[in-house]
Amino acid sequence: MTAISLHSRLVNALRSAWYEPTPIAPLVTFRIVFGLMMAISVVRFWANGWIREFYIEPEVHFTYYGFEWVTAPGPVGMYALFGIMLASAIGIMLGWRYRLSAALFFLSFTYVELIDKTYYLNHYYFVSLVALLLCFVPANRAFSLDMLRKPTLAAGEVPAWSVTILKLQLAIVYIYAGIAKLNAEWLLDAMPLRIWLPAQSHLPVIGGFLSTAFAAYAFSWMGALYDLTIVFFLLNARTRPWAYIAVIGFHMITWMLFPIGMFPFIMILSTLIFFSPTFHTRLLERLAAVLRLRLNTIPRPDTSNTTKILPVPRIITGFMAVFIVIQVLAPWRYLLYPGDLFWTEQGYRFSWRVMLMEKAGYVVFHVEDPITGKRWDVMPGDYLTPIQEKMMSTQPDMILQFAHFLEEKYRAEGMNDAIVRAEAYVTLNGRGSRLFIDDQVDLTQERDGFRHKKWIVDLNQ
Amino acid sequence: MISAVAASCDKESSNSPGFDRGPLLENLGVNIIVPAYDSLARRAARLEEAAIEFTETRNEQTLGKLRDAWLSAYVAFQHCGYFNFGPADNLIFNASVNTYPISRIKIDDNISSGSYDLNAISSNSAKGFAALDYLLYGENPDAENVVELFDSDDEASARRQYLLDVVEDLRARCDAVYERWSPAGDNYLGTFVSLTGNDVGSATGMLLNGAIQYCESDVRDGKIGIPLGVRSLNVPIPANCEALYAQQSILLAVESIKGLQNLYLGKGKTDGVGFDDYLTALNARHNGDALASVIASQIDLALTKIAAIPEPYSETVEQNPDPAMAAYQELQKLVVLLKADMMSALGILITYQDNDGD
Repeated sequence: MTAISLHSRLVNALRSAWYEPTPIAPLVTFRIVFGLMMAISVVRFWANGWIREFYIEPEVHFTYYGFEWVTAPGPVGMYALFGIMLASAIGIMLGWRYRLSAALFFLSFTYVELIDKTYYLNHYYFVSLVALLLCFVPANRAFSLDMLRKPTLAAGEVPAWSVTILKLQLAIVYIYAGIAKLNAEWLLDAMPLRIWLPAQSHLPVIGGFLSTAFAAYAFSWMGALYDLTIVFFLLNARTRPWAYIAVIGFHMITWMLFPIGMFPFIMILSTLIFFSPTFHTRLLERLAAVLRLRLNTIPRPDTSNTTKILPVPRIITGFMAVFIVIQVLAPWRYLLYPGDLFWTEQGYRFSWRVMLMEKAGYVVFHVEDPITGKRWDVMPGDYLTPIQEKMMSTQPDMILQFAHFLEEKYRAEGMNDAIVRAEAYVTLNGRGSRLFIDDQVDLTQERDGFRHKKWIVDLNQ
Repeated sequence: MISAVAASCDKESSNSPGFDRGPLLENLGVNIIVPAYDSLARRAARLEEAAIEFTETRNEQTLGKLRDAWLSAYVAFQHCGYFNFGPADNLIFNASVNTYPISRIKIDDNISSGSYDLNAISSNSAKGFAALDYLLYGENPDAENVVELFDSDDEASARRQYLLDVVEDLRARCDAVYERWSPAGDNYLGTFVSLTGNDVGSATGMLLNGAIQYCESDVRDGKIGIPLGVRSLNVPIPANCEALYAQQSILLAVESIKGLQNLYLGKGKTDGVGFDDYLTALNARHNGDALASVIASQIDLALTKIAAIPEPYSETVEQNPDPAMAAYQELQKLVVLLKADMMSALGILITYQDNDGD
């Protein structure tokens, strides 16, 4: 009896979260702020000279496994890609040729991210995922240029899945970021905040406090608690205003203390989606008034609708289900590998592991000509930018890629089958530097892939 | 008893708020960097005087004084090379006073033709300390021979002029970089001590990024590794030794590590706050030991190993490479400690890029 009622309650909840009509306003706000933040991000990236520094100047790029075909298209191509990114972000914001804009933004942004894993950031991954979702949700059916172009598009309500999926996405980000913090180093040693916070001792007023061990523990525990619970407090109407103040406070503190760019603002504005449709309708009406737009740009919800079920194509529901399942499972894939996750980084990316470790390393490559037996050293700094070198020196798959790059370089110079060994030392969360890669292994004989990399030296060896 | 008290003080300092980078920067700037440039500028001025005296009165005695003045200024430079940021970076100081190997062809051509522009970047390999090494010692360092080249050789007069021009260029550059730092000049010192943050553009960030880069490419590789052939298919390149003709490569390399040691320990005219104190305040560890003392010991070890390399280094690299290889490996370990462990413990950033710490 209770089992049946629980089951039916669950079905009802899922049904209302997916198929029932819901006012479009939250989705429209999300579309506008996301487009705006992306446009600002692109301009900022451009203005900082990072297009040139990250994608044009480097001689070599570290592609992702399976995406080796993604290459930097040269200066003209790179600026064109970012031009498309900027235009399509504005298109998303204005709701102009919305689906085309969302698709172009997703493709151009994701392509750029795939060029070089040096620049991997969880927030870029988040942007790619949201951009993909925006290709499917009907966020242009109110308060958009598309509506002016094609008035029949206008709708006051959308099927609930299109708002639910974005909330789910945010929930995954926060909750997994919280789960990732539930480890001994974060909770018991307050690492790496114990290294990072004292570095901010120059800040006025709070500088002294940040240097204390208490501050490191307090920030660690509060951070974990925040990430694990914030979504639930945002979902609950009674706690929501306080939760949102916490969102602003948390992200502004991280913005002040760490060089994390646009991420805090993106999260602060994205979490607005948890607010009620009434809140968003009022917000948009006020925006319309400020911009002197006609009020009917936000159609009123159609109250005559009594069925309470909107048709959702099966393919969309199926796609979204797969999308969520992959994201729910991906952060656990590290369990399939032996060794310490932070040390080997096998299964580390795409898992919302943010600000979890202070890792630094140094690597020299020893090259040997198998015919003459002569050996010499190669310093990666001769071929890589400082940021590429820093990132490579602590990530085994990148060290392997660089070894293969050297093999190819020497092959082009007429030396077949150069032997390339890496002598790498890494320090993780305040442990002293120690050998990272088996320095006897010829890395040119090793292949990248999802298999365990046996040539990573065990952390506690 | 004393050590127990000291240990408990250590514990307290690790928990009590904050290492203030202000006094560290103050000490590095006032006690180390500015005096190092000051000393270099003074010795460069004496070098110029000695060069003028030698060109006017050409004999073995004046040549000896000139050579001494050259070596003295060259030693002073070894302590300055690490400050490769701010004024030195803007003035491209290091490359314009100490590019080596020099181009003998270019120098010989410049002397013969009498037409050259020492300000051109392409002239870096025809001037500076290394060019003087060639001019004052050369293939045949016998004093009588060198005096003859400046006195009665066909090109003696042109050679004297070239010597004076190179020395003047060097002296002017040493003056310029000191002027930029000096509180009486452009007072970059004031800027330096005010940049107390931990980003790339902070004083600590610029100094350490520059100094460690210099330690890697100019000290470990330039002074020891490259002549030894570690970058060239294991084929030694004796011609790439610093102070090749005067055969003072090891003396200069030792001086350069002493410069690093002073910088690390905060030692100038007095022993002040250094990076060792900073690491101690942070209670940074290295596999059970204090990172501060691990680095200090590694600097000592590198110093000992380098000092043990027989001079002339240009012959050692071919005939007896083992002591050089041993020194190179200790320098390698030192670079790992500085670039990975120390930078990580201090939380100093190496780029402006966004970072979410993974």
